[in-house]
Amino acid sequence: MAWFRAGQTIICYHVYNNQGEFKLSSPVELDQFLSSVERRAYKHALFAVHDEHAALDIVQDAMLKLAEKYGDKPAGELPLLFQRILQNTIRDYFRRQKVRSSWLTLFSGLQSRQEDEEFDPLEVIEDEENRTAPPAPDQSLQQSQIIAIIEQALEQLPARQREAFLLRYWEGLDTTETAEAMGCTEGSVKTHCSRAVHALAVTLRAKGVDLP
Amino acid sequence: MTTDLKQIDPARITRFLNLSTRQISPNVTSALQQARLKALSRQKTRSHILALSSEQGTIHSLFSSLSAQHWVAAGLLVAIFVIGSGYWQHIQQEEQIADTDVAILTDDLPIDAFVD
Repeated sequence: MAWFRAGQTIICYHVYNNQGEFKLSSPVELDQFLSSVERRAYKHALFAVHDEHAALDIVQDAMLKLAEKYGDKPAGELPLLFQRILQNTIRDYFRRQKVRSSWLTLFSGLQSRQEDEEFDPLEVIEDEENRTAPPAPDQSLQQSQIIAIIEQALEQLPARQREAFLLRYWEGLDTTETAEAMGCTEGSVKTHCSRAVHALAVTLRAKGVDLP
Repeated sequence: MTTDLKQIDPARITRFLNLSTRQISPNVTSALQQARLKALSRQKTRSHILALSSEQGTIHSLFSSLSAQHWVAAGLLVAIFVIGSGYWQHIQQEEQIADTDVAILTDDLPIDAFVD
């Protein structure tokens, strides 16, 4: 409850959210939310950028933006806010990469190359991690192989279809929330989801995967 | 049971995605934890409300994130206060004029009233 005094009168009032509850996210609530979402967020980013370090940077940036700009929002609003921030941060990454590769291509054409200093601008954004490596030996081979196939199939999806699928079915956002996070209409979300599910089904069948 | 081309349950896919999060390397999970702690250290704190205290003669500057309804209510209160104080001043002026009129009629004005 908040209050102020006007002369001899004390005026008190409550700050409510849309559910009629006076509740702003506490550090504990923000910590709980980030703990629950950080791994999925990392996977989201990894599917998009194919680079572990870049994916980590993206998730860290998204967490910082959420905490610094929206840390005082009600806890119920954090999931949607975070997903919007994450998607925007991924897009920012690609914009920077595009600008960076343009400059590198320009400079590589201007500089004279020496035998021991060959420079390929594509190496700058090339994934240094071999993610097609076999699964850990102590894990179920079939399960790990299925996971690898699913992840590969997701990476092959168009970005918008992958975003819609992950937000709608993995994060559990409804159509409206997914549309808001992606900055598109609900109809587009449904279309992207439908196409994503179909594409994944085709890919899995082509690889002989029978999901239990 | 083969995978139907058109009817695959997304939940069957996300189940494996959940399993995949458990395969994330310790280095990455540690980095994620560090990122989370860094974000928590920069969490935006609650804003405060503006309050006035007439007894101490001080202003406690507190600001809060009020909804539009609360701003409307605050604006109405301010408007009522302004209108009320204006009306009160008007009454005071009329009383003062009335007192002056009475003083003139009773020839009870101070000498200063006649000095220009």
